[in-house]
Amino acid sequence: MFAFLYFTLWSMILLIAETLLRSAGLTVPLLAFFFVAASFAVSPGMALCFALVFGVARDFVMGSFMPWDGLVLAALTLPAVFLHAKRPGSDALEFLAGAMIPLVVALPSAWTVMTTPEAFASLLTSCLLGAILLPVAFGLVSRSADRLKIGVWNSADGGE
Amino acid sequence: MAVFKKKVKVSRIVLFAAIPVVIAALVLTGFFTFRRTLARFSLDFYYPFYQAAKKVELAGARQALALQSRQDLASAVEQLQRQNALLAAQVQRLREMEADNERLRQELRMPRWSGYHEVYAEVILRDPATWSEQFVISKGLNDGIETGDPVLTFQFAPRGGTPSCVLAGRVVEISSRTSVVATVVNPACQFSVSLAESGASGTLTGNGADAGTALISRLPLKSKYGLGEMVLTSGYSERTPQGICIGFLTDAPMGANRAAVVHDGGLFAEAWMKPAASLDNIRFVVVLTGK
Repeated sequence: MFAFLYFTLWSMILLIAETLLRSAGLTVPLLAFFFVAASFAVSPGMALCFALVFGVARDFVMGSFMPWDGLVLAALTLPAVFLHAKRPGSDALEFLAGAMIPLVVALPSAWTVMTTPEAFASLLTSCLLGAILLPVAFGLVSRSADRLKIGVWNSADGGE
Repeated sequence: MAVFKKKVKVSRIVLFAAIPVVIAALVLTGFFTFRRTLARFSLDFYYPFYQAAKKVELAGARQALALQSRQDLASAVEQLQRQNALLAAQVQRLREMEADNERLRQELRMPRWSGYHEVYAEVILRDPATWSEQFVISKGLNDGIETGDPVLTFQFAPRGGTPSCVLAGRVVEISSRTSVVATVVNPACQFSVSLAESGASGTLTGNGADAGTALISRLPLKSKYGLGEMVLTSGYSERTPQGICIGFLTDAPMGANRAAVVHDGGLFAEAWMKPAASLDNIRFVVVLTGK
């Protein structure tokens, strides 16, 4: 129940922040970073469900005619489900994953990104930000999950 | 034993492959079944947050005005007063014409023209991926807007001339307090149009943001069309008034210096249009709704 509230609150806040940033011309996939981090640190199943629901909600808010965001966010959390919530290996991997996430999120609009220099520059900025933000998201989410005792490693692996 | 292990492995791979497919199928089915209802709910739910952000932005812009010199502000006010006077004169002339039109319709026993009601709105949300194809505005069902209503934007004339209204798009999705507008380059947006010089009529459909143009199809073959010819709304639809500028005929996208018109299967001609509105910089719009 507590994990459900945790996911709901963060998803809502990040959805608003992300859509406002998008409206200002900045594509920073905050929801994707949160769901990827939460799928490894809190609950992969719940992260997958919330990624689907809030991804589709973002599609609705933006007036999209296809639920690309929902599918892409779900696809990003799926690896954690298959890896049974393994803790990510190293910081270098987190940087790399963070840089890759904006590329995956931009896949549905790949043609626009390839043909518009502004969109391509914005994507590169997102990749750089992603390399910084994903490790931060991992740190914040796992620490808060540990404090709230909703983390994956609290019970089974005895915490940190 | 080895065969059993192999079977388990294969079934696991099939399961892993099937899960994403099933999820995708469920999402797509749910999306298209409940799209309208859920879109309205989501747009209305998040409206106060986006509106609050816009209010903060507006307050910041007002504060920034205070940083300008009195001289600059005075000249801006003077320019606006000049524009206001010109627009007031135009409105007066249009009122007289409207009264004339009404009287002539009565004399000819034609049905009364109901006219349009203008709703002023602000762009509150845009997605960089679809920046010039669609946006969300701050008015919806509560303000009398309906799906399919035409959306106009202002085109400012250089050196303080009177601004003109040009067609930007059409309302395609609506909630109580917001509407999603598809611009004239969006493939979801269609209009019946006529050309100013040749007088030919056709159907306009957006070509997507990458092309930045719209395609006019079903034009008569025999008419002559020139580059730069103005494209106007035809007025065949009751929702859209006649004679609003949408754009100008431009080169065919296949290559420069090609004729604006190519043949569509030998029966009709088709042409490409460049929008008159600068779709990337729209901040305020006017939605025309039926009275």
